Amino acid sequence: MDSLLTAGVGRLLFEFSFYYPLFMSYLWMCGGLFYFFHYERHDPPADQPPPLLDYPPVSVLVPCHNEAGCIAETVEALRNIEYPDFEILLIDDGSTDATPQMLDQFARQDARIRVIHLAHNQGKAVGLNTAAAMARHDFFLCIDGDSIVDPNCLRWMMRQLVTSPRVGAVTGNPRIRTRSTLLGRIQVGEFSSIIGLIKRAQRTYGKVFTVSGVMVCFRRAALHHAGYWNPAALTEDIDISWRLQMRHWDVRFEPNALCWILMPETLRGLWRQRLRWAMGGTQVLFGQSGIFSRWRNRRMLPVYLEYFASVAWAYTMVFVIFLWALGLFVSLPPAWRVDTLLPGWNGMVIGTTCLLQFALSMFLDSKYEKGVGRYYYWMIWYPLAYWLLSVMTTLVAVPKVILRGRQRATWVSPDRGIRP
Amino acid sequence: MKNPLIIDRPDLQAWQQKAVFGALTAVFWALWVFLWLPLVTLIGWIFFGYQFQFHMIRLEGYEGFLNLLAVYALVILAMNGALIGWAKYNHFRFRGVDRRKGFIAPTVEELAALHQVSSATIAQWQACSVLTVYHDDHGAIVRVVPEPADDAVDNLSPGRGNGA
Repeated sequence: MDSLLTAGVGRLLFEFSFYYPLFMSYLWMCGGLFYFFHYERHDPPADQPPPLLDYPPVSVLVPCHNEAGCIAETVEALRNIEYPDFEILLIDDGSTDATPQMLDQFARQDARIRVIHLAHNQGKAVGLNTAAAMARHDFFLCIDGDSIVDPNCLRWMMRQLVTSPRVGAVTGNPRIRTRSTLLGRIQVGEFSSIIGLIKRAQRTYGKVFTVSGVMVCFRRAALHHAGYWNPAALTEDIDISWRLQMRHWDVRFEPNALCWILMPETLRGLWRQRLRWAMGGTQVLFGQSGIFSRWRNRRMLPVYLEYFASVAWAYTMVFVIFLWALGLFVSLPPAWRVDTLLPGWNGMVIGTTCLLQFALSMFLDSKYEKGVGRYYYWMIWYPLAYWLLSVMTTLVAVPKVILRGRQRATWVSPDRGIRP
Repeated sequence: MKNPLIIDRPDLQAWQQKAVFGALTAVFWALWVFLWLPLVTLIGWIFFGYQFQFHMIRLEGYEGFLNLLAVYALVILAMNGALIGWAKYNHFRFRGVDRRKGFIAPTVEELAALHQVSSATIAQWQACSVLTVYHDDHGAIVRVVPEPADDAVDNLSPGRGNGA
């Protein structure tokens, strides 16, 4: 009886490790396609945003920490935004380089620019909370200090906020600038496939796991209702997305709102970034575990369960690899034996599905970036090796979040890829 | 024309790194083709007749394969049908319905209460062009200094000038 039960559990684990990514991939693709045909297809080109009924003034919030190398082009792009009325709040979060002096200089050059110096490094959430108190307008566009916005982004994002009072936040479509190395190129496809496609599919469902903190527009009323940004959150974007949606604010995706970002191009930089993302997701799993007992938040439950399943899958994959290694030294019962890690039929099916998902998402994104398909060649890394990164970061993230407690998150300058 | 914002400069990395990753990517694609060998074999069988006839038709080898594909298709259909059905249901039920009309932006008084300062202080914060902010250990604002820091220092700090 015991051996039958053990065999059953073993089979369940092996089947979960295969079927979860397979079926979820088709769900993302179908949801992404539905979103494209239902919402995206009839939009005019990204550089021709439709006119709005109203253009409420906007405060652009830009948290900066040691951004001397990037901030000039970030500010230049912000000044070129095509929108009737906006102010730019540059938040210097205890920078130790030339950032403070540069920001003051920008403020002297343009009356729309204001500068908030935080006397000490406080972290992005406190910086944003401070700027929210100082901001003059009731809509906030939050941008990272090293990203470059498209001149039309604000019109696209405000379209969603102006037309529906229940929209609390709108996230944009970040595009990667750093594409010199293999890691940079893989991330181009990853942002299309794993981030863009999943956001589309989640919007088809009606709720999203997270906004992209690098570019997101908020309604002040929604932020006030949700209690603004949480200083203890490792990823303030995941945290605020959940707190808004738990209070029944809608969070939308606007693929026409483009923003060009720098991403890590070293394994060390990528590992640190992804570990922080995984820890942020895990924090939400722990922080929102009460969702099961709250009927009024039932619509967030599938999003919660999907993320939970992805964490469980990462642990299952590590367990399968462990069983294979153990089997090299110890004779295991047949139900638990992993003969080889070489992908057979299952590997071929999942790999083909994965490559199909990349092809579809790059096709959808080609509307916003011509020629993105030429990076498809590098996508072979994803099904064969790159996915291990997210498995390993998830594996490490769970114990780190448990041990971390409720510490404040502060800034660490990230790897920003190869720049000429 | 290529977007000038895109930094695609492989020449800036060591040639060894470029060569290793380029070669590995080509090897991965070759490995990928290798994974397709069972299918290639099956196609070969079809062309060479006897083996295909014997294994797939006479021994009914195709049945297991077709059953497996049918299971995949059914699960994918059910999951995606549920998602699209749900999206359509919500679209028809909530299209044009907004229950959030009562929510307006917080007033200056509400912001003042949140930061434990006076409404006048919030207005002064919002009027400043350049300022320096000090926080306590929990991230709450404790002092605001406008620049140039020659006036109104006390008036802009929480706990002062708020009439408390």
